[in-house]
Amino acid sequence: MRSRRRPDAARPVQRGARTPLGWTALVTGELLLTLGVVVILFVAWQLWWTNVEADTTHARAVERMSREYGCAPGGPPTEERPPAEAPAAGPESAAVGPGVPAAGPGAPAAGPGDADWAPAPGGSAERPVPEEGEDLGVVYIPRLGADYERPLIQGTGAEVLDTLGLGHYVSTALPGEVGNAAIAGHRQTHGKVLDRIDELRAGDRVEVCTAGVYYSYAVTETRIVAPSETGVLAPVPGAPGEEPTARMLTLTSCHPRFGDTERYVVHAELESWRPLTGPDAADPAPDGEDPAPDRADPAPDGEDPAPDRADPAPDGEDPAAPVSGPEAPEPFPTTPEES
Amino acid sequence: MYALLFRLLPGPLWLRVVLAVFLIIAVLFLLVQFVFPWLDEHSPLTPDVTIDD
Repeated sequence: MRSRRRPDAARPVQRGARTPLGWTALVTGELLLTLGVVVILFVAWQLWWTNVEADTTHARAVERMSREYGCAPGGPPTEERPPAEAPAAGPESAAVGPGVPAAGPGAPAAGPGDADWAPAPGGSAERPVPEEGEDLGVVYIPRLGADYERPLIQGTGAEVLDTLGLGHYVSTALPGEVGNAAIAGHRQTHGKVLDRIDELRAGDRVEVCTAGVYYSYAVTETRIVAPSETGVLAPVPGAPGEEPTARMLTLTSCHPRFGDTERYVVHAELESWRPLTGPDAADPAPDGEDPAPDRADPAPDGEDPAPDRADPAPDGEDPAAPVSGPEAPEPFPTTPEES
Repeated sequence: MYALLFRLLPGPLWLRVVLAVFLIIAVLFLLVQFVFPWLDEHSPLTPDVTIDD
């Protein structure tokens, strides 16, 4: 067959692309197909690869913090229970972490009602606001799995939520503080850390293990709100402007499961806490007293306002709070009063 | 377009196939390392999970 060559052709002519129009159509078609393949690959990347990456990063962070803080699901190991005596050293004897008890020398450690124990959000000289990307602790949610453990990192930007773990809203209280500690997490992709957030019910435990203290929150309510509903982040959830008295925790994720037109919000209140000693800590942490999560803040002099009060629940829990599941914290004895 | 690119690769057919595979892997790597994270952050299709957006 006589080959057909155009006078200005410098390259071989393909069948079906003999004219510039044909060539344009071919390239356009191939580019569109390429774009389609790239979009499919992007979705696959989002739904699979980000989870693989995030799970690896989270597991590393959890392992690091578990080692440093002595964290384990369900609370600190009982054999590492601190001795029942106040520290001989100064107020900074325990590892400085969010909400750690800071008892004066000789004074018994106080529960969550003590102002020294839970400094105001916004930091102080001894404990500045954590930087973005900083480790805050490990979060355990038994309802989402007995082996559910995810790192909690300061910040809610993409660099935190997409790779590092659950994000802590910077403007809210830290876990354990009076007010509302708000946490955000992806529902799908990037580890799917809060995928089954809709399974949480009132009474379910949400536990946060930080550098000095192991907190156990119990879910109080779940809501679905608009993305602009900043009232759920307020110190008193739902009532912006009110002074907080309770220690709350809030989880936020997107809703519905594959969309983000709304937000799924879970509120929880502090139920009990345990002081922690890391495996390398030399100074024992002060022993915690029977906490009363709804007790108002006493005078900020670091002392237990009612040292002779009989403890109605020596297992360290608010007797009115529900105890659910096999993850109930170990009871431990209260501190004998020392003056 | 792709046929032309394939024809432009040097060597015998088997070598061109190998080179094409390498090129595809290189493109995939660039996509995963740079393009997809950028799309993830800036795409309106990516769900947001925080309040106050």
